[in-house]
Amino acid sequence: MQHKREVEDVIEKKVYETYYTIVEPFKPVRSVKGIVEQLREKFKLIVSEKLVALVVSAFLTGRPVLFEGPPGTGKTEVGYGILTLWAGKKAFILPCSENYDEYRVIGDFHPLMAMKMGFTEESFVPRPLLAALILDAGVLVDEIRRSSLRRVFKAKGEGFQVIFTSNPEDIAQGELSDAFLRRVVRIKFTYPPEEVEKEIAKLRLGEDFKMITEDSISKVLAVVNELRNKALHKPGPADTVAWTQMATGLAKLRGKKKADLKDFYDAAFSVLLKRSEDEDLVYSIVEKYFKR
Amino acid sequence: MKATSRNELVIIEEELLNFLTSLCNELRGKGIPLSISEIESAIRVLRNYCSLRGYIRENGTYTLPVIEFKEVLKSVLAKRAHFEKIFEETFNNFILRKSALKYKIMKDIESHLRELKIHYGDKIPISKMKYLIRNPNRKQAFCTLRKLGIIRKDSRRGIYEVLSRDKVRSIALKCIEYNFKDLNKIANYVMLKNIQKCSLRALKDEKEFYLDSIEDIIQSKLNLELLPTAKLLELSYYASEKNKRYISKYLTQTLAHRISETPMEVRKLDENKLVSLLKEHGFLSSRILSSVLNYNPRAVDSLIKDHKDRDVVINSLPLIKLESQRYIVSKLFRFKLSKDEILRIISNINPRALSVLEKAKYVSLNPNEQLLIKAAAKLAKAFEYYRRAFLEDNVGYYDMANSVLEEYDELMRQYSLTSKQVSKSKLEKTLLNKIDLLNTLLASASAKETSALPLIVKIYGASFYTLRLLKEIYETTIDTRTKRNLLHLASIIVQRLKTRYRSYALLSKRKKTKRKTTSIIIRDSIYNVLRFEEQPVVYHTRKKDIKVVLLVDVSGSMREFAEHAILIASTFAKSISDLIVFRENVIHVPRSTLRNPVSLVEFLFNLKFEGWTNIALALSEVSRRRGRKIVVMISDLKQTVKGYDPLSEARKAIRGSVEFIVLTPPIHDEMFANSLKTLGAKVYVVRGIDDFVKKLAYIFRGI
Repeated sequence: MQHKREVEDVIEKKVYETYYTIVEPFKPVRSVKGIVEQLREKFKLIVSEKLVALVVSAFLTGRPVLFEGPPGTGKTEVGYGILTLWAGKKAFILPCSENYDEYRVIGDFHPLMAMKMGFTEESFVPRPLLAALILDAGVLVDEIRRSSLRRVFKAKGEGFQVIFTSNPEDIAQGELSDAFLRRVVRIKFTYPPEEVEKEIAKLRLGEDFKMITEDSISKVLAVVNELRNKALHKPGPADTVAWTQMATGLAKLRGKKKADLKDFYDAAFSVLLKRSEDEDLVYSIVEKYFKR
Repeated sequence: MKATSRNELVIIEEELLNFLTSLCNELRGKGIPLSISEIESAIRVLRNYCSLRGYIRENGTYTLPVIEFKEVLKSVLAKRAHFEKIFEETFNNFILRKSALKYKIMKDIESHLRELKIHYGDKIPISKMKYLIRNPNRKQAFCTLRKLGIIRKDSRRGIYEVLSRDKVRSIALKCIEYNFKDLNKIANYVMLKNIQKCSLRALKDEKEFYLDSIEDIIQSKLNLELLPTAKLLELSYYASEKNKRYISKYLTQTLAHRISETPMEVRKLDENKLVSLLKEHGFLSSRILSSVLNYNPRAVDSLIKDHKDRDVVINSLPLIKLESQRYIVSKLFRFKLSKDEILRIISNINPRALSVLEKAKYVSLNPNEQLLIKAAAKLAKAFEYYRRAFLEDNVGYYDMANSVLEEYDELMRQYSLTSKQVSKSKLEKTLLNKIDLLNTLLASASAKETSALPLIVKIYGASFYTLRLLKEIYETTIDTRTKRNLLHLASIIVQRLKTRYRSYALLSKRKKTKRKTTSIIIRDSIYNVLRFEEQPVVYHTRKKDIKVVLLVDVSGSMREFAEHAILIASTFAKSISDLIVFRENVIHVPRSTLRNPVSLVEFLFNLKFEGWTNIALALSEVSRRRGRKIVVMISDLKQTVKGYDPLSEARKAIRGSVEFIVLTPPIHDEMFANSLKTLGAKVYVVRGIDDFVKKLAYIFRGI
């Protein structure tokens, strides 16, 4: 094991002890086609070659990547997948919030140990970003707009790469500065076309997809698309998958071989109804397609 | 860059930078903030993307779908949701406009070929072509194609050759870059560039063709600033020979304008042709003439024979520098001058120029006046000997000076004997004034009398000329006390000049903007609340921490600009963090020098404006300075020290700068200037010293 080698530096040693087992190293995948295939097989994600090529070329240029798009379009999962495959180690995810600052990301001093030993390397607690730098793993800064972090992290090793995700439509979040945006390569995520979304559902559901008829899946996609145009909460491909999963689950519980309209109807509201303002709209649209 | 039929783009790597720069300029104009680093990233990301997707061909070209090209550029250049639409529109316009323009250009070229009944790759005898182009429409088509370089003349074989289709296509591609819609205008622009590059010999060989072309260029209202002065003169002369008065006048006017702005250009020109043209078209004002004579005093030879022209020469004397004045005065006195003319000459010249009058003819003067002229000439000569004695460190000159001074004393003794009875004439009074002034100069040079120094300032006022005069005396003087006095005096003048510069800057309308931050100054806000102010909340303002680096070229050609630039820099010393002057080497001027007028004057007086220029070294000095910086460079951009690559150094310097501003005189290295522009620098061509001072003061005021 690599972490068993002699590491003289105290902080490096701590990082290896704490984080090395978590990252589960494996052979990195560095070709575009390889990443696309592995994303499909391992992570059950359908990602275009163009997108992966753009991300990889940004990595090679030494620029971090910013994924921007509405919720549920797979930004976090795709980012995590690409980073993991590229580095050959599980990527670190930093879920951001208002008070997520440098101390929680890079590291800080343990108060009790600092009192005992002073502010030395012994009392320093390394956090994920520093760990990723030392371990040469990727970092996904999720929902960057929610944090007070506005730094751009430059790639040091080949494996250490940074992807930020952000949802520009989220009005509760802060604005990204010009200086920050100037340094990143921005990739926009949108809702996939119907065929791709159907493919995603098929991939995610696996064997269970056989329980859904062609008619039902096209109705599901019609409902989702209509809601995306009209509702305040716009369901993403993740919601489509969740809805179909719940419908097949219900069908199984009810002892059916195929999920019928009732199963979809019952499962719909728990997945699609996220805002009280949308209640009437969701009911009317779902009833239009699934009410017998 | 060209589009193929399958919605693909063929990108040539060399053209990519030009394409992106013009696209980014257009995007900037529409409100998207883009820096040079983003252009650089776009190129790198695109290159990596193409190699990953296998779009790179062997010969350094990429072929990729337009959509993918757009997506890659969008990811780097449009970072906000509302910028995406602007980007898409601009990009589509850009690509479509270019391909539409190329199609139109090719179509026009082909219609011209059809008009002439010739094809790609044809070889037509010159005589046959002459017969063909008797028809005006065909002549027009022929001229356009020839200007574009599609039809080329092979005089040795006696034929006109039409280029192959592929070569014509590549010419059409280049034509798109000029952004003109009309093929004739493009042809004229290409021709203008050709005239700029071609040799004077070629111009002479193809007189007719070039003259016809320049006529078209003038009619299409293209800017003739691109044309070198020597070629303007030649073309104007040919036009005059061929009786094309309108063209000759227009070109001479441009020439006169150019001379008044950059008189140094006159050195390279044929003085006889120049003067005859200026006379012919009535542009021989004393201002223009002084510019001509300052740098080419031999031009006076063709002027002094005529009485009227001689008047103009005499009137322009005060504007001419000393060395040229000496030549002109010596030439003038070879003719039989009237008394009035002699009076005007003597009152118009620098007293030091009187030294050439020692053996001149002045028959029309009375004996007293003749004595005084001789005495003044002797005194001026004695001053020159003193100067040389100091500059060359040769004691022999002191002896020569003293012997000349003895002659002067003798002449003045004679004069005092004869002049007692007669009242003094106007000429005598003028000569006596000049002698007084010469005595003052001599006194300060020989360091016997220092109290006379303020007199110089009184006579010449607080001007740049006075500063130069003081510098000359400073160089000649040996006495340290006099030197100190000179420095003190010069520093007073510098202070006055600085006040003048400040007033220039105040005239500018550029305003500073403060950037408000979100943090509140609690103390002030509470105070305002208690006082019921209308807007009680006070925010912290953020001050930009940007360094300003001023690079000044102090090679021989840049003397005037450099002196002014250093003085302006001292006026705005607060805004400037680094002043670097460069020749073959680089000198870093400390800020303390800039702030203290005496040390600034000392620095200026000891600065030598000569030698070669090494821009690359100066730029590498800039890129070594870390942090956000604005770089202002004053130079003619001519790298005269060989073995350095200024462009690569410029690339490094510009990459690390917030803004890169270049002020350059009209005569400069245009290729380098254009490359700097492409890299994102702002290059301003200054028209003269006044313009330069105003522009520089404006820049510093803005910072």
